[in-house]
Amino acid sequence: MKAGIGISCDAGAWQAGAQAARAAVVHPGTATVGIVVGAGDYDWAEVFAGVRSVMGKARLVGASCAGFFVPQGVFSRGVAVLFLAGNELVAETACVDARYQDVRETGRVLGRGLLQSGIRKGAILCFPDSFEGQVSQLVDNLYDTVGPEYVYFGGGTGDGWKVLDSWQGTEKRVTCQGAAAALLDGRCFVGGVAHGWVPEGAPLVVTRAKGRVVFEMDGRSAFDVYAERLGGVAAESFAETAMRHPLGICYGPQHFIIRDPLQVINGTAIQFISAIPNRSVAYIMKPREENDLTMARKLTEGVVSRLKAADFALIGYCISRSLLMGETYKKELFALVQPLGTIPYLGFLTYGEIGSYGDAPQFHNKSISLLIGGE
Amino acid sequence: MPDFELAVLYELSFQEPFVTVEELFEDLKTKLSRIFAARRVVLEVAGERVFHWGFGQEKVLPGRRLTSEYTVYEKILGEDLHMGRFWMEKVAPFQDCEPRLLDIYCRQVERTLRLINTKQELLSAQMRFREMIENAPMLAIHGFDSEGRILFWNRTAEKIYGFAKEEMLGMKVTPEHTGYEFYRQLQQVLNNPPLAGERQVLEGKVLNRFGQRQSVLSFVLPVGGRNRVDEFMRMDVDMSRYKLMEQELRFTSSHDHLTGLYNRNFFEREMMRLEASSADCGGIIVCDLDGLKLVNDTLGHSAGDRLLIQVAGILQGLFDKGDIVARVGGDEFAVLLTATGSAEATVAAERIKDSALQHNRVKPDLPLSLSVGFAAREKPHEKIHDLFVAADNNMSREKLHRSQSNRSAVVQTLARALEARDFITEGHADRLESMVVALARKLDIPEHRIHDLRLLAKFHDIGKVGLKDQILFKPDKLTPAETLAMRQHCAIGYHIAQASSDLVPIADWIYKHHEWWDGSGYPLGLSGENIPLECRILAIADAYDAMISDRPYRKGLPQEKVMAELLRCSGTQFDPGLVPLFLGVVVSPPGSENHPP
Repeated sequence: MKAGIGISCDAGAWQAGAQAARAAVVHPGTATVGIVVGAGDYDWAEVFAGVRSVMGKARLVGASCAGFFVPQGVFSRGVAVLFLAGNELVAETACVDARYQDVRETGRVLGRGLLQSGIRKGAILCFPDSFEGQVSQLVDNLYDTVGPEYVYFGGGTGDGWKVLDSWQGTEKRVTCQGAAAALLDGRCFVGGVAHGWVPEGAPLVVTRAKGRVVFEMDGRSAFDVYAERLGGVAAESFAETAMRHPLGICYGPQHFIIRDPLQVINGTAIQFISAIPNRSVAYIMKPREENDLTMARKLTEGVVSRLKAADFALIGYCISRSLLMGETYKKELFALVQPLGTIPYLGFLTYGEIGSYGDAPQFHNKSISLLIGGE
Repeated sequence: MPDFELAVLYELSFQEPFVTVEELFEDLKTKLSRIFAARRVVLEVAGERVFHWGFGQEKVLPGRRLTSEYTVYEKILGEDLHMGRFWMEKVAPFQDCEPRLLDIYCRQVERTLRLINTKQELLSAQMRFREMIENAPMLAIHGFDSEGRILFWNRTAEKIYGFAKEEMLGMKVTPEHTGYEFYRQLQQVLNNPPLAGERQVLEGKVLNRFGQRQSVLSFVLPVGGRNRVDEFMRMDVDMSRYKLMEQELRFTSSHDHLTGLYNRNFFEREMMRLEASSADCGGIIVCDLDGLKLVNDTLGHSAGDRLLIQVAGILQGLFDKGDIVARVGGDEFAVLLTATGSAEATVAAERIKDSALQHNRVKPDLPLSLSVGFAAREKPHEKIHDLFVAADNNMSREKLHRSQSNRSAVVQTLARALEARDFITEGHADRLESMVVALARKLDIPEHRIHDLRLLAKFHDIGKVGLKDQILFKPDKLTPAETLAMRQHCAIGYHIAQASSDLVPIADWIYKHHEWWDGSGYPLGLSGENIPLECRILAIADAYDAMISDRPYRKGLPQEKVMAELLRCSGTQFDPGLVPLFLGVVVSPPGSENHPP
């Protein structure tokens, strides 16, 4: 199998797509799959058209993001294409537009679209809109429709730091505020997810929550409890402080699903980036260590070690980590990709990450999700 | 992670008050995938419904055995009750505490399933009850609280009271909104409410918003438990239809269905009531409609009914509302005169006779004949029943006196009815009469028999009044069934003749006037001289006149042809001895004096 990475920072959408694709294509005319990400106010239909003009009949999947990182560097504007080619590689894509208002149905439609290929194992790449914090339901229904025989990877998409729109697309269509996915097989795929947060203090119970709003913790006002745990915080500065202390929902005895608090509502409730299970046990988290980059490195090393040889890597890196760490986040990126060596990789800043601790995928916040394909 | 088991215990021990199994499963799979890293989950309920997660496109059917290469936890839920099955698969082996935690969780699931079941049954029962209350036909149900605020209002209440549910719900009843009457009735209950366990029953009328009154039977019940009565339910059964039926029944039990007059039952009860209360009674008049049976038998019961109705109309028009006018028998009427003297009774009887005559002048086609008898109360203590007997006797005497002319009048009426109906017989009877008389004289038949012959000529076809028009006037050949019906006129005519003393002597001849000389006639198939001479004479004259007279669909035959035909049928249809005599006596060359008109 062959893999290549190309980028373009051209201002023109079509040109950026075509240039990035041309740079990525290792052997012209043999592309099987192209994964496209981009940042900036491009016309995404044109971007995909440009990529298609080079990659011909290859399957394409991708989305807009706040930034991306490749061997060539970290970019806040431009288009990047990961090119995959190989006779053994098979792929199917699906794209659902915003007609499907019910996010659960979106997941099911996406799944049914991928299964039309008849591919029954491999990796599923998913690029959804944020769906107002309901991506968990999309992921859950995608998994229920497709089943456990796949490795799941992906991330929430956006149009940059404004987070007003998101674009997703395949070789068939481009949509806004929808979801795009691809199913790959023909190689061995392994995935992993990590976050680097550790619990602080005693557990608490989410005693009343609905969707991504938590009204009560431990039977009291959610904000009161959270603020107490943080040593006293005013509502106005809560978001800034809580950024460093997300909520960790217990996942088995060893893992946590991280949830980013967003804002205080009515002085008592807390709205998070994504949904919080009602009556769940959680912890307020803290960084394992300040500026600790070992988690990122260990994540990649751990995933790579499960393969004999890696062909390519895809990385979803939560945008809030970059906000939290400032420029230091690039060091973490470096630590993340260093174990890959010369393996082509494509990483992008995500609004939530799709990855699995076990077989079933979860939707994470403030985390890193990784997919490596190889042998 | 410290306290993991405790944290899990907390999560698993709590269950939301789910209303449906779908909601339960949604929570279950999320919890299990998160807490135990479940890969696939199945919840089967009561062997009928299966909820599953993580199976992709694989079908999971109830009762299907599930296999796995991974770690599995399986539990039968509610073993005694066969509530269902729980199955969970994960990749990694179970930690020590996990099976125990899952056991605890399954108990929670069982409890929740039972609760859901109970809730659903309760919901179904509530819905059924609500539907029943909402749609109860003929039962208007509305509920109100102790302040007179309407709490519910069903469809029938909308119909009876005329107010839509939306107008009434939540509204405090005021005279301005619902009208004073509804307000008053509600206040009545609130001022004297039924106690817990009691109910009030009221019968009366309610006024709806359109000003219409309806009869209702109402039940008012307190609602809200033993110690707290702050709600009431009123159920109104619409009795309007029953009231109407009751009225109709009362009317039917005291009135004659055909004429609308009081019936015999009522008349007798009134006589007894007047007797018992010693109220005034001026007298009793009894009337009898003559010849009703004859009319029913010949012209049909509808004609007879019309006569009865006409009599009823005459009587009703002649008396006051205070007098009791009744039909007391098939053709008998009676009038109970209240508070009149004997003179008035006499005058009233005369008025009835005059009215009958007046009626006959106006409607001569079907005249009515009434025999009237009366008895006036001469003494104050004279029994009313005795008066009735006396009036009835008087009526019978009058009837007897009038019977001869009554019957004659009826027969004449029937003949006129037949003539009016069958235009082809116009003049036929007169012609026949002169022909049969001429032949009879030739045969030296005595004069008294010639008198009867004249009657025969006139009434031999009287039985045709009982035939349907489509048979009587059918121009084409009759079907066998129609022929059979037509031949019945002989028997019908016989019975009619038997009913009239004038016609009794010729009844037998009427019966046999279609017999043939050779025995192939009807109705008895008599032959030769077994057929009465008068019938043989009439047969020839009848056939002659039928052939020679014009019909709507053909002209009359020439005389020569008629004569030839008579001769041809001589010995078969006609008496061979009479035909030449008939031809010699009755038939003359055209222009001669003897030529039949």
